[in-house]
Amino acid sequence: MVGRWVEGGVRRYDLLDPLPGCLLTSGPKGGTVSFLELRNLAKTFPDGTRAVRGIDLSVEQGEFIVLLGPSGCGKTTTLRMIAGLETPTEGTIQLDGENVSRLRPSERDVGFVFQLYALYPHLSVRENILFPLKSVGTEKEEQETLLEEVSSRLGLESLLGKYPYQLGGGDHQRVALARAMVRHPRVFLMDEPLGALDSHLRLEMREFIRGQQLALGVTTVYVTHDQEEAMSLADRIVVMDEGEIRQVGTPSEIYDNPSDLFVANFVGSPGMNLLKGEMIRENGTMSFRSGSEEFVFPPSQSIPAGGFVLGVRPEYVSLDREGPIVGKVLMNEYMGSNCFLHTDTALGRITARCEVDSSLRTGDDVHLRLDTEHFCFFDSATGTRVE
Amino acid sequence: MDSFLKLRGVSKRYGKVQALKGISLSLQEDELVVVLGPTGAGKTTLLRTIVGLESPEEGSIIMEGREITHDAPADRYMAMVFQDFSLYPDWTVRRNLEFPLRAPGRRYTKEEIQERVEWAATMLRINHLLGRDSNQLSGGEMQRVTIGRAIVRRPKLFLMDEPLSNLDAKLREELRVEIACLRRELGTPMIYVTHDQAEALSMADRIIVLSNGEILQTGTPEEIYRAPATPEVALQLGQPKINLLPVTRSDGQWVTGNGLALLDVRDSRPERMMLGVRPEDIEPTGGKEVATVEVVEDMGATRILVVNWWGHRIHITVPKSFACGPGDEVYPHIRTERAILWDP
Repeated sequence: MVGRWVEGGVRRYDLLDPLPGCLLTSGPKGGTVSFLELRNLAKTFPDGTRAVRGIDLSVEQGEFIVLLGPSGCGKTTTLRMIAGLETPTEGTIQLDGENVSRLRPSERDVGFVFQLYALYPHLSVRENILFPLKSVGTEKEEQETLLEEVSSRLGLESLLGKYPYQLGGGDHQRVALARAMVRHPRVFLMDEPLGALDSHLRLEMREFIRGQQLALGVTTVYVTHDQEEAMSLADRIVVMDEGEIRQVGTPSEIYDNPSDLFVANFVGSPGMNLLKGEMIRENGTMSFRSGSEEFVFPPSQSIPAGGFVLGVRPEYVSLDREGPIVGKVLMNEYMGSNCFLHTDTALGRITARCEVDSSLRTGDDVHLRLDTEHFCFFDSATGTRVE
Repeated sequence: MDSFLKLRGVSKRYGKVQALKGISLSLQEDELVVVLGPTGAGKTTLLRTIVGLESPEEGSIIMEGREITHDAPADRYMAMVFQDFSLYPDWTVRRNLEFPLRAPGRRYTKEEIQERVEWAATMLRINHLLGRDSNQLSGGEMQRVTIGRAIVRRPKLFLMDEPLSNLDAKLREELRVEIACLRRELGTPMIYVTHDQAEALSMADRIIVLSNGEILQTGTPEEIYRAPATPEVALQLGQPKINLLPVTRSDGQWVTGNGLALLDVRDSRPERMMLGVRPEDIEPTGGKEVATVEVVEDMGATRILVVNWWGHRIHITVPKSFACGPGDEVYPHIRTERAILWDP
């Protein structure tokens, strides 16, 4: 059997069988069932809080899935149900064809890393990493092999003798990751593992985690409220709000084609500019009127006349002396590689992503042009996207 | 013009740890200074020393021309906002906002208190929350109230200790703009501590980069981003982080250890330098030497390419319109005028 654990090598996993999660050869059974399937999964807490309201999700083997949403959207509860730390009130969880909904966490063969996943303070790094193996009675020799493998992979060799209090934030998280990885679980579950780290360490660890996941090919479900983290890590992003899934898609699908106003605003830093207005169809032309502005388009069949919200990303707003929209600069936000110009206009607040120009100051008047090719329209009553 | 606040050689030690090593800085009357540094750099100690919760072993603190090094915190007329919200949970928002005005020794009439609370609530757009209990608020609302509690007193100086760290990324991004705009409107100086480079770049009039109790560099966001004094400072700012490559001079070019020629040498410099180039200052085409794309991260407005260039792992930021995938070849070209060279 060849596992993606060992780059270019062949290793037999006699002692660790069965290890279907690590093997590329065990694809979805029957062709229709995905590796991890959530079906109508719901959780209502005893106090009546409907944390998760019946979600369906299929995750393919080896995929990196990010659950993204604000505090209280149900993403952590979903992850905890997959882990077996919460019991669903409704629905099922299938892992590799097996219904695991009622299994205990230890029987599910998943590895988790949490933001505050405490390492045992009285144990060395080595003992911390070995802990999950010892608890399932892995043989000594195999323990050593696995420890060596994971510590060289994560660059922890020199830290094995140290204790948690002697570690910096990044190393601490690397050890927690090693502990989750050492057992070769079928699935990695990560709940904001980088939340407690300084921002520059977070960036470094983010790449590190992605690199590891790509190398190992282990199916991963990762929870975060940080859309940038989601964009950079995910094969597919699951955007959640109020216990429901709002959209599932690749980072660029989610970014370019948000399915509703919530996603449009939540994804993107800053989010999409949203302008209220009216779609007008006259003499074979179509135009969108917002405030005193009118944008004319080639007619499209699908968008009817009526009230809509126009969405346009900040990078499709440009400074242009001839631009039709006049804005007053609220703030020229310097970001290093670019700047965000937040302006107040007759249409509402519009943010433009531009080249750095430090001459623009709060209170200045600017002219803006919107790129009509990249408009999205949303139904102003329901918030859903219209094409 | 005399500075509003001055620190001269301020040092603070906790047991064996020298938390601040002779810090000197100044703050103008209408300025927002961000202190940027990693955990353990001494940022919080610095704020606590300025507000009077710690007293320095050495050095002096001067506000409006008067030494206040040993004044009690209450006599300094500063307001500090912490990372955790520290509101009284069972109290209404209104009562929380009134609290600093009702403290012993402050004599405000009922009308004054009401007027100030309304004013602060309007500034922060929390009027609709005044009657609510604090424990019913969302994280963003709580932090707004906490800031409200700092502004009702109309202090002479705001000190903010990572006030947004406990909030969701989306809220952080909105509130950082709000705080900077609010401060500008109030015209009150502010020292804002963070480890978040985006907050520092976005909010600051000036950034002070702190590390191990020492100031590494002070300057406008643009100065620090474009002309970092050392590679250490350069690594603190920018996303993804700056590419760093040790180079030596060879045939009029700066060349890496394995012979990759990166740039023309323009002036007389030492033989060995450290080259820094930000990911957005490398173009993916137009160079002479090939690199292989390993990873493409789609960040929405831009894409980040991680490329292997003669064994060097390099980050390049490209516009979204630049199409490529893992395994593709690119020819990186460094924008010479943007490259930074340090004498190691």
